[in-house]
Amino acid sequence: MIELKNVTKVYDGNVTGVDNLNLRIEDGEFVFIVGESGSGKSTLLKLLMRELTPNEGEIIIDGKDITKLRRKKVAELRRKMGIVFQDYRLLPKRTVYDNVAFALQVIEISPRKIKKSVPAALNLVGLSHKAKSMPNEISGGEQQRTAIARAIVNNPSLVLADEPTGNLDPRNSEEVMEVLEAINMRGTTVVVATHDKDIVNEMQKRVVHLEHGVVVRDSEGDYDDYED
Amino acid sequence: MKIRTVGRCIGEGFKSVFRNGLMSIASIGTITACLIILGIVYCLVANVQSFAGGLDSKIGMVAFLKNGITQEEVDLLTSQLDQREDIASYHYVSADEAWETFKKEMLGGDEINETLMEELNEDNPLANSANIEIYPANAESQDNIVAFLNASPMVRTVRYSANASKTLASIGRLVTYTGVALIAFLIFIAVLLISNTIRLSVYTRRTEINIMKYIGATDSFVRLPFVVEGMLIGILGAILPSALIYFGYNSLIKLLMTHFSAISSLISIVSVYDIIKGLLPIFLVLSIVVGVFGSTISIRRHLRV
Repeated sequence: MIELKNVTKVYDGNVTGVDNLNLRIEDGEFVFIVGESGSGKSTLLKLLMRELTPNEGEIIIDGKDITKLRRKKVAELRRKMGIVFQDYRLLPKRTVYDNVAFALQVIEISPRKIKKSVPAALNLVGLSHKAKSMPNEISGGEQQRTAIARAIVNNPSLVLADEPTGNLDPRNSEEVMEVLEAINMRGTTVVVATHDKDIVNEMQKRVVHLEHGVVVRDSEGDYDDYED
Repeated sequence: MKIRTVGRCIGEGFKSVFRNGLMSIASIGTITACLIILGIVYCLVANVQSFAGGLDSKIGMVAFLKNGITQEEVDLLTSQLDQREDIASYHYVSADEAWETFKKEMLGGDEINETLMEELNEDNPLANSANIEIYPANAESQDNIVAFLNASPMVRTVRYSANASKTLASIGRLVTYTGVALIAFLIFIAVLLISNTIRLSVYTRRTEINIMKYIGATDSFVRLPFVVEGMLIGILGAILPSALIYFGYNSLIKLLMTHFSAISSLISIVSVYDIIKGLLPIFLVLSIVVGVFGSTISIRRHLRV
């Protein structure tokens, strides 16, 4: 379970990221964080992945306040979550297989287990046939699916995706969202920050709408339900 | 960190040198260029120092011995000279030897002179010319040797050039200080250039470092391959200029020996082995230390994600 209590993040220069934010996400939920650029979506995700620490408030993940984590413990926290970025962030000089395997090598999983887990993750995202391809040899959608395979190969309890369809056409966006939904169906909590109305409307999941760092709507349904 | 992971990180460091081929070539190239310049200056300074040191031993002094000095007294004096570390060499010239040398120089095939010399053989005109030619180990020790000789009861007088020795001593000091300062300055520049290249190399791979951090890599897991890579680039960057200096310097010596033998007979050129013996430790320490510390420091700011 994720719980944010009165979380405020103000950047240097007095720019507010999130303002007195309260949010609770149960295990196994699929949540969209939506809002215009600068509304605080990315700040919220960065706070959850402990890239940022808030000026005020508590962020509880699995019963622990991650704002009080020592820097050395951040690696342990991130091993429990998978992170997906808009720009995929694949290692360009490694194959699809190696990019996914890398996530397990980093956390010191045995080579035997890596050989079992990587094909399973690639199978889940439908990229078994591209295992030997280099990132520049596959499409944007396939690159993003590789990034998702890397994020889930360690069976994390939480997947954070920051604008995962931002660089993709509608068809590829749909494929990526299908993969994320499949991961959610296995019990993984999925939090997706996006301003892609189509995918939000298509999936009809919980939508948390942010404006100027404040939650202005938190309910299931379409992207525009709040404005209506 | 597990031993298997340490091994993997070291392996990754090796692979990274090839995987990031262009950046590795740029880094090794910069280190090589810096160290070659440093090496050339080192060769010049070493040879100028050797030349200045060689001149010291050519500025000799002559100690004329007292009349009627016995062989025992000469032996006593030479044994005292043997014990002095500030004397490079000496040569005892007896009165008879002095006369023989003089005759050889004066005769020149002249019959009149030959007759005159034979008459003088019975009564050596250079009977008072027994002397010892002394060459100091360095110009600075000349004053001490002169003082010792003047105090010796076996010595009548000492002839030497005070100005020459003082000038040589000054030149020697100037060459040493200038050489050390120049090499220190070049080492400083090399450290700056090499660390900057490594910083650039790490910067181009900041995304890779970020990815590793986002997927839960510890700082040491991220750092170790970079440190190994820095060390490897350092080693390659030290060996390459050493090899180039070795072959370049060796070829130059051969060229001087064959085409400019007059110069090589005047100057005692420092051997290529002595040059490499002095340079390689400097190169290795400099490039490995800068490679390892440069990587470690450069990577630190990218680990804070």
